[in-house]
Amino acid sequence: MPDAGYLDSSHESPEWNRWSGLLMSYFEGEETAVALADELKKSLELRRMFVEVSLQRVAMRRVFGNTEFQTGEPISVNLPANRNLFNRMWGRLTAANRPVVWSVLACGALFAIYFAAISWGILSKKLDHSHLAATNLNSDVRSQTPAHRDASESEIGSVATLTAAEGCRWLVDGETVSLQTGIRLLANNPLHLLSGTAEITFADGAKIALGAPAYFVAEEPNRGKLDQGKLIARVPKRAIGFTIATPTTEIVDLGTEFGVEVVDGETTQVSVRKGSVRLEPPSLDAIVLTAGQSQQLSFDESGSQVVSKTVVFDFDRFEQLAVVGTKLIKGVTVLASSEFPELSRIANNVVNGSGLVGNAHTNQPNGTMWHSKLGSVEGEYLLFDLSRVHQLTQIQIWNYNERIYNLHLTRGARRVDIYASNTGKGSPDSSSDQWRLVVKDEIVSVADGTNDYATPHEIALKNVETRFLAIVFRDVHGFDPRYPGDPQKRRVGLSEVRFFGKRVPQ
Amino acid sequence: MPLDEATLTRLLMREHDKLVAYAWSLVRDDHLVDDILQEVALVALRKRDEIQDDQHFLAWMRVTCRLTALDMLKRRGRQPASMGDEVLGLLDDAWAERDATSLTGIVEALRKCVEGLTPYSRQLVELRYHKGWKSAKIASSLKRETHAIYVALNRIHRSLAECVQKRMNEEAADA
Repeated sequence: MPDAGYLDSSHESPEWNRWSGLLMSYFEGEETAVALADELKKSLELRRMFVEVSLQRVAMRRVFGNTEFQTGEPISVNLPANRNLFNRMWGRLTAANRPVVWSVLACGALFAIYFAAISWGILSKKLDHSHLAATNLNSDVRSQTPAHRDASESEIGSVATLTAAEGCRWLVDGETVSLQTGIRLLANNPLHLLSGTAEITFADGAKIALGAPAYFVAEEPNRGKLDQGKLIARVPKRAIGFTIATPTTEIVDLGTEFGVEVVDGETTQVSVRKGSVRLEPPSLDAIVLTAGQSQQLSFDESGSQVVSKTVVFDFDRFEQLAVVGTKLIKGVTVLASSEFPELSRIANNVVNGSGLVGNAHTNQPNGTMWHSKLGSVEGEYLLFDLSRVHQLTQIQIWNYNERIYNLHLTRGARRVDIYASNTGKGSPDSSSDQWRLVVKDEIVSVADGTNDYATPHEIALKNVETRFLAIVFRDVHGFDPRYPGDPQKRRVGLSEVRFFGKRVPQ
Repeated sequence: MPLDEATLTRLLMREHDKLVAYAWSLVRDDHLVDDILQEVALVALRKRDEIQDDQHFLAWMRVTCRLTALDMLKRRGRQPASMGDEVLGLLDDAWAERDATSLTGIVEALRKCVEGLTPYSRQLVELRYHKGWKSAKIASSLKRETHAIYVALNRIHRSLAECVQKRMNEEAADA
């Protein structure tokens, strides 16, 4: 370990400050190499920092590959919550009601104190107490929310349910709390999400994924209001007409999936991924948006009129929300282009959990791993059937892990392409009318050959909605060491594959 | 005495992540790092006579990594990061200081140390290293300046380095 300088926490000079910028931006791929090199030449301390950050970066990957960390204590941040509310109120005042702002100010300190009081939560406690509901609140929250006292009343008044939450912290009565999934939400229940991502299912069937920081109100069984933050809405046919209101428009679903973001309490951006929506901004004609279109609505200079403009389609900003509510997909079946039944290294081994204890895979291959027939690598494939259409968010691949002769280093898949299909017909590699390429040239990390191989390769997916998926193999990590350089002795193999996602309501 | 193939393979596996860290610091491209390491492993197997012993292994691999990286960048028509030979040489000395450090040990200690971070620091680390967000995106999300995120991340790295060192020293003392 470095023994001086970098580890001395009292040493945080302006120079250290500048180095931080150069170093971190370099490690994010920015073009700061020349400036950084000048500083590196001069300072041993900075060179040690450089090495330390390089090592930690790789170590972090190993740490975050551990699912315990991902599912452990929710990660929260002490965002200035009430400050956000203040900004929101102020943002709306300055934009939406700008003409009246000056008169409000002119009315003097009384109004100012009144608005500040609302903004900083002094009055909000009294206003909001009765909103959070219902039957599954944990005891801490229950004790703070009078609504729990009459569970039947809560159920009658509920319009939606919190169905999934990842890393969520909520602000309730000025306290930061976690809410259990399953909690029913009363009509007009203001929700202030400080961190994380939450899935809310409306009584009529629409689902939204809400990303922090956000202010959201479930108003009716088929209607919500977003004052700040972003969400994705997925609306099944039975819930067509589901509406999201924002400060500048109402978005009426016409059978679709769409994303909405409200910035500074006023500017709304709507992006439609599937189907279509109708925007109904006040004082403007309705606008119909279809898949692949984005529209932005904001207040004009006077703050009294909404202006609308078409913007470049951008759904990426919503992708992180797609993860909430995703689960390990069970009941997956698989077919292989070839396999090696003689030693029970068959395709089914990669989906049945054989050889896995928790997250750790054995290095004994028979009955636990799959590999192709002798001499065949390029074009070999595994074809998976997820049994229903899912929106996929991640694939975990445990590479081939046979330790003897270091075969984990040589039979393990290296470069793969991944294809998706809704029919599963034809060959993934050549039936372009049935299969679409969703991941190209993914380099799968090599297995470690140990008897508790617990660092699967992870592939994040977005916009992949499918029932069938195929991994097509392009090459392996090396030649069989017993037959160096002989392509006829190669095979490609995997140990286990897991898929994560959520079912698409049909 | 040159390394035999079994020893070389064991070293390649043991030091793989450290070599990933080194190669990535040169090219900052995950796919390229993979190709470099594959190529370097093949070169090492072919030229293992040149590697004198375990101690010499990482130094030899770094030089080979650096040459291979420059060659691959050129072949792909990309400019190598403009560090220059002098700086890369100086950096190699700093890397050599860490040759005896086990990256597996760092990972194990880091796992505990990350849990001990403040909630805010944990969130920054998660956004940066789990979700892969760049500092500008984190800054925008948290309504802070990008430079403030750079400084915060570097401060976290320093604090983690302290924690990791302490834990590894304790482990060594217990052993």
